[in-house]
Amino acid sequence: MGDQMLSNRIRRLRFDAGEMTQQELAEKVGVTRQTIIAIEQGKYSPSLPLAFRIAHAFSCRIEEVFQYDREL
Amino acid sequence: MVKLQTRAWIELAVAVWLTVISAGCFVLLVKLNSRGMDTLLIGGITGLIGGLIIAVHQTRVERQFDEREKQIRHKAFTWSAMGFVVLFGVISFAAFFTVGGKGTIPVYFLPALFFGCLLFAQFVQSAVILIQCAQESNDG
Repeated sequence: MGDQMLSNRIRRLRFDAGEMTQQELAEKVGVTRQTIIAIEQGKYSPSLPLAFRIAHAFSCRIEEVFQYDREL
Repeated sequence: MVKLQTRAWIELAVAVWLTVISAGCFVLLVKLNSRGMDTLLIGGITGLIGGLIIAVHQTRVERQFDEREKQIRHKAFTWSAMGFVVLFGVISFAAFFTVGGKGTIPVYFLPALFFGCLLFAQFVQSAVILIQCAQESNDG
């Protein structure tokens, strides 16, 4: 199972949330900006607690932020 | 420079510094031809106290990192442990085949080998972290 199967809409959600910067999101969820960049680019799959914190930062459900693309 | 890179450079510098100090102490012990239980006890207690200080400090340092950084550090530690084992094995067998099964080597070779391998392991650990950070910054 590769990391590339987990896609996300963080960039879009940041834009919708008043063009929130990566740094602002990082501070909200308690990680570094580099981690947010890695998650946005799909290079790092966050833990479940971090995924929930990111979803809460955008006041939406976790499945609205992260999508698991099942390989057929 | 991100916190992870800074820490990697600091840890490498500290490892070099500690190796130089340890090497100096061992050279002195070799020159004095120190041996016996009292030397072993002093060396053991010093090593234990030093190890405990490093362990406590590392636990505090580890709390500063987020989960991705911890994952990178864990990966780097795995590589450094492998580096330690491989170098230890290579030098041990190289010595065995060079000197021969019935040959002799100076006993100071053993702690020198240990500290050399520790330094190499720290070098590998820092290198893995720095390479990973460089790759990420290249990717934007």
